[in-house]
Amino acid sequence: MSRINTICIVDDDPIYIKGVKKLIEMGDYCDNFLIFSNGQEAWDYYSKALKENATLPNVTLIDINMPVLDGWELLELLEDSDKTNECVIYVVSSSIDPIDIDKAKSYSFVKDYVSKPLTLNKIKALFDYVIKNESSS
Amino acid sequence: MLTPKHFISQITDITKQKKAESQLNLVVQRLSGILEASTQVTIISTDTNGLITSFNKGAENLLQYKAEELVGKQTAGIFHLKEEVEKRGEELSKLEGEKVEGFNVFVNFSKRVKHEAREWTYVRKDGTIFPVLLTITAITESNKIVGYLGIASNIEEIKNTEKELKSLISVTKDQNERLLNFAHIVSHNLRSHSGNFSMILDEKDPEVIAEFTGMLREASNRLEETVLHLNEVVQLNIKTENALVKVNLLNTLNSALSNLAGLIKDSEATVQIDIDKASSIKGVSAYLDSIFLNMLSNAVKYRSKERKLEIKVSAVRENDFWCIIFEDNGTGIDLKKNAAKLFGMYKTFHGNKDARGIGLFITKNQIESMGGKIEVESELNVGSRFKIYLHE
Repeated sequence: MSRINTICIVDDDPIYIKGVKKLIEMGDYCDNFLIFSNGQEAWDYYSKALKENATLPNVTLIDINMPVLDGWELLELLEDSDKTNECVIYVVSSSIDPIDIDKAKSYSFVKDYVSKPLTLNKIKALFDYVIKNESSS
Repeated sequence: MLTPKHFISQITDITKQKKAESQLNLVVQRLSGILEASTQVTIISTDTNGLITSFNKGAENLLQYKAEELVGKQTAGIFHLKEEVEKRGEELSKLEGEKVEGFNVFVNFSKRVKHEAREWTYVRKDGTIFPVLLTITAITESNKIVGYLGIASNIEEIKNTEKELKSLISVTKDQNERLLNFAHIVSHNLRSHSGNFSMILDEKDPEVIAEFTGMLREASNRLEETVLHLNEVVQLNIKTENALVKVNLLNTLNSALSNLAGLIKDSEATVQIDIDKASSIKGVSAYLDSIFLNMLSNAVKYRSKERKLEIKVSAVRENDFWCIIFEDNGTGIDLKKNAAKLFGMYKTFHGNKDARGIGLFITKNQIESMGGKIEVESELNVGSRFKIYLHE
């Protein structure tokens, strides 16, 4: 597999979303996106998909600070489901607070913490890793 | 003349008695010496009913009564704060399961455990008060309580120092919290804007650049807004205690309403006002403007789609405070889920696009910097009631 099927982005910043989509398209990693502007919208989708045993997005990028339901609350909800191990979740935030970084990494199903801004190089590092692991498994 | 045949003489050895007597005198002398020498400590004894039986020099000094005014005439209640005794009586009654009142409030414990130390307030003859640490000991004679001895020292200075320390701690705590908020804005919000800028500017593809240019404007607006918020948080840091002036509530409300006239008209809201035109608070005029604007615009912003918005603003007196109440029949807040987030910075829970999560944070801080507090009652889909307490 050389491309990723679906990438889910959970973030309330429209500029960031547009930018990231552009970067991913430029790297030709994926052209199928699921966009949620806060944790609640993402959870509505996830909880339904989990219940119906539907395929989950291959990669999910979750922001921390969001209205309604923030990144932490979403991670808490996802932690309760054992199916989340099947998808790759990254926490992507502008925070450089070590407390946030450690907290994000403390979730077993969170692959890594990535600090914004995302660059083409960072995206490459993330997705090359995902593609390599998916094809070997 | 009858001559006695013999004398009967009885010699009793009273050495022990004499010794004891002189010892007793010595003790009494020493004791009264101590009693009189203690000019800064009140030493007062009472009988079992609280009637004062002795009143030392220190008590005269501190309480301004003469011993002869009180001894054998008054009970200890005369220099105690009535409300304080009643309050303690209620506490003890609850604890004991039976009514404890009057003098028993003081000796309830001393009866059983021989002594008890507590803080009380003493009232001088001229009505002024001061805090004391009072130790009450039961005086017993062959295992029977015959009276009580109360020894108290003035702890006014200690109390004042304690108060100063406490206020210092609370100021430090406030400042710390603001620093954390400041760090939070820098870490999360400023960085997210600069991140967006660099992401947009890193773009090489001219087509994409064209698309991104419009976003630059938006990103710069948001950055400007964040800097404004940052500035407001810093402003809050500056102590406002000395700058408090009389601010009229109704005038402030009317000016906020006229500022929001367009918004209120568009939302077809009705506003009911129940504030006496003479009522005013001690505060910062600009803060009260901002608080009222924020409360009203929130009511409009979070109105229910199912019913016409009704806002009610009223003010009622509660002791030294005015309680200003903003009520609405809007969407309400699920306080079980969101109470912690409600007044936090950059925390929003409504999916509202306009929400920035700064309004209530600033409002709360402005209220607190004027020595007031804000409370909220709310029910989802019914409405919210914000209560703002400010010094009269």
